[in-house]
Amino acid sequence: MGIALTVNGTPVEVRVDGSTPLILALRNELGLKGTRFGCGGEDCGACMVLVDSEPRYSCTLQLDDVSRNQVTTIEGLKDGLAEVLREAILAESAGQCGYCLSGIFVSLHHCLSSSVPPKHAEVAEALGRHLCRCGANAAILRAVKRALERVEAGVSDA
Amino acid sequence: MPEPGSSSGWNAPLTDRFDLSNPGLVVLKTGKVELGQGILLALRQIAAEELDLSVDAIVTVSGDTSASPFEGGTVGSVSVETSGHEVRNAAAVLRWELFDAAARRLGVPISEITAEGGEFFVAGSRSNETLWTLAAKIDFLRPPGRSAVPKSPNLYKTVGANVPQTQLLERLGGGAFIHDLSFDGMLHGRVLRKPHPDARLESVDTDVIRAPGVVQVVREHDFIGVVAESEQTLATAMARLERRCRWSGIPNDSPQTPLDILANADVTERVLRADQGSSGPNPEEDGQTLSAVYSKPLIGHGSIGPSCGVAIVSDSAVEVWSHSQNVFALRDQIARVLGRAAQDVIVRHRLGAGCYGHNGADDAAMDAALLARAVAGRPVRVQWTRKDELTCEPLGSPMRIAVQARIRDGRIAEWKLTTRSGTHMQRPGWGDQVNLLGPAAASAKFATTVQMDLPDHNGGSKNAVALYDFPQHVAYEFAADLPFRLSALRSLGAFGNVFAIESFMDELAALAGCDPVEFRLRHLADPRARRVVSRVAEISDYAKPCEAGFGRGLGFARFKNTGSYCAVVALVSVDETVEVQKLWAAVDAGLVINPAGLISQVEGGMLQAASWVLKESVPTDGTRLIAESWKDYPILTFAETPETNVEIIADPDFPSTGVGEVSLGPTAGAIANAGASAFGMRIRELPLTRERLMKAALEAE
Repeated sequence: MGIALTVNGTPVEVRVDGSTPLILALRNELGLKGTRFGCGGEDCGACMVLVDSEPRYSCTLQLDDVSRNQVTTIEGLKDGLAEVLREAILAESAGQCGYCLSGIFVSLHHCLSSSVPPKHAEVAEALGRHLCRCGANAAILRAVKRALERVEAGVSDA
Repeated sequence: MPEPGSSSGWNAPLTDRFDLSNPGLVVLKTGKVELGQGILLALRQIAAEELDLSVDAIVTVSGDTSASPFEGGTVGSVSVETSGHEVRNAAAVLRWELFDAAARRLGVPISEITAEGGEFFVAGSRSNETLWTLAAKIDFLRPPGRSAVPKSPNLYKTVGANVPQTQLLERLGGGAFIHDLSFDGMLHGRVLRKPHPDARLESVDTDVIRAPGVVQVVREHDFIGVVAESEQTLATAMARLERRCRWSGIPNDSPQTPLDILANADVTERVLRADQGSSGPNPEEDGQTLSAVYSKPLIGHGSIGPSCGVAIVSDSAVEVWSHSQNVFALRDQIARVLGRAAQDVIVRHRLGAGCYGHNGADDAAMDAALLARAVAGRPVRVQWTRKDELTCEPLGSPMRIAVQARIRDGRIAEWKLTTRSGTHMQRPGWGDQVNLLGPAAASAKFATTVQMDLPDHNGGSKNAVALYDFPQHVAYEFAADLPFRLSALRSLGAFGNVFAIESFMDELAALAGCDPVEFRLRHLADPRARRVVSRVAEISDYAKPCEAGFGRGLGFARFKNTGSYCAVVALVSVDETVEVQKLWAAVDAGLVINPAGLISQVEGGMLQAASWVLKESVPTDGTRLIAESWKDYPILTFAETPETNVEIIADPDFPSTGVGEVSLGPTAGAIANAGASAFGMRIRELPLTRERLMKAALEAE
């Protein structure tokens, strides 16, 4: 047995049951530890990944649900936009412990990668799927603003 | 070999602090641990400054009982204050020893030698000597026998600089957290938590749990756990186990809230301060009197990452990885419970999610050790569920604060505050008890039987004395028998006490017909205190009138009355619910090591306090904790996050003081005062929920 998946653009096979949560296959079978377990109930967003470019909670998805889809984890986000986001996080010290940050990064990458720069409400909706307990929320919002300015100036296409 | 974990001090051998055996790198050993507060970067900046190195050249070994100096816990916002001071002094000694060695090797007076980036120069010309060639000539095992004067702060280049927090980016990928540890042959384990501290495990059918991949079912009295080959197998086994356990001794439902229980509890009273003429308003005397009672509920730490621990137990040694705040205390309790000598147990700190005090970190490590004992030699990883986090971690005690005062001639002439609380301290080893869930379930001899708070002016009485200048009578009513698991939560009693003091200051200002800022300054001689209050009023346009439905409020405290100063202003709107629109703070923490790191800590405290003030209360049914998910214990969301603005009043003439807990009490006062101003009525019970506002509005009609 084995389940075929496409993760970060690469076909892989994992030797676990199809009912296994996606997050466990990513972390324990594929060693992609950037996806974090937080609550197991779609409340905190620490486990966010992209499935066919849409943000999804990897703690409640089963492998069988995604075997025909493209799964992207934070390790697979390496484009210009990812660099803009990383620079913005560093410039604003947007995080403290950083545990929530991987999932937030994935959601923001999706939100900012749309062809039209997102409106405030769209960013708010994207971040509405996430919790931060360190109180880095305000700094993260400043980092989003900074990244958006760069995106609007076309920097991520460089 | 010096004894690992020996106490550091001015005469400690250099090897206790430093290892220079790898050219190009200075290993700084510290007992303090990274909790997301940025302490390791701050300590690296301090060491880099003294040694004229770049911060990148300093790496840390942190919280390893086999290699780090014993520095107690990473608690109480004192790491920069105490450990930073020690690292600076130790680095100054190392610097002196290196310069001394350089002078002898190069045959020139010390005064002609300079160092930069690890290289040594004589009269401006580079020599062949480096930090590392010279270090090889120094006996790191010998007590230096002298202290050395650290650099003068006016020469600082690295200390005080915003060295970027690159560790944040490193954490974005995998591998940074304890949750990411992986060992060959690692098993996954979990303990089924008791549904109530008094519950007893009557019977359990363990046969149904046995399945391929289930390695062990471990039971000892009320302790029952499972070890499995995979997390998925473990989850299935635990779900089955939960259905097959029969518990007794769970108390019946009760409508009593934790605050009801606190109000009716037996207490012992201690008078913390009794100034002359402060014993409390006597209605016979002149002036105006006022009294009020404030409260805060049970609050949780609520780490976003669940508690996690990994352990390997073999005949000869016990190795544990934990995100504990105090690896040494945890090591001692693991040794005690497993019946091992302390030197046979090694605990190594690994980064967890932010903890904000004593959460389930130590429990998870102990769980791992107890389960690993049953599968000798194999690593066992334990990760709690969200429900375990919400119902089993230690919590911040409910508090009830009663204040009365008399105003005479526009000043506070008498002030009496009585604060009532359960303990704020139940860390591993405190009161010579283990204080961990696993051992308590396994054996009555490891159960916590006595609750004891920290000494006066800490724990529940932290900041119970106001910094203001008026005659005070302050008492602490300690409830030692609260039926909840209570321990240290960020700022301990200071949050509740400052919330009450700052709320009451506004109530008294109104009674005196005085502006709240002016009223505070009237009772505040300390120039550093006056400066933060005045400055935050300035940057927030405090005096500017608000539109209807909006209000500004101020809160101030000096943390523990000896630490950093912080004043906060909140701008809120009230329309059925309280919404915080903006928060400003002015902070004086003496000498600042990393301004961006300081702002992060202060701002984080402000937003966490906003979450506590607006939303948080651990749901209970009598003495049972009943939250199942974040839905039952909501915290501040991004949509509810106000803009923040923190201004540092840097004064290098004063020694560094911590900032991790400084802003929570002042923020509570600021939001409560702004809310009262916007709403026209004051809610004295936290959190300031829509239900409480509606109830107050109805009662007023």
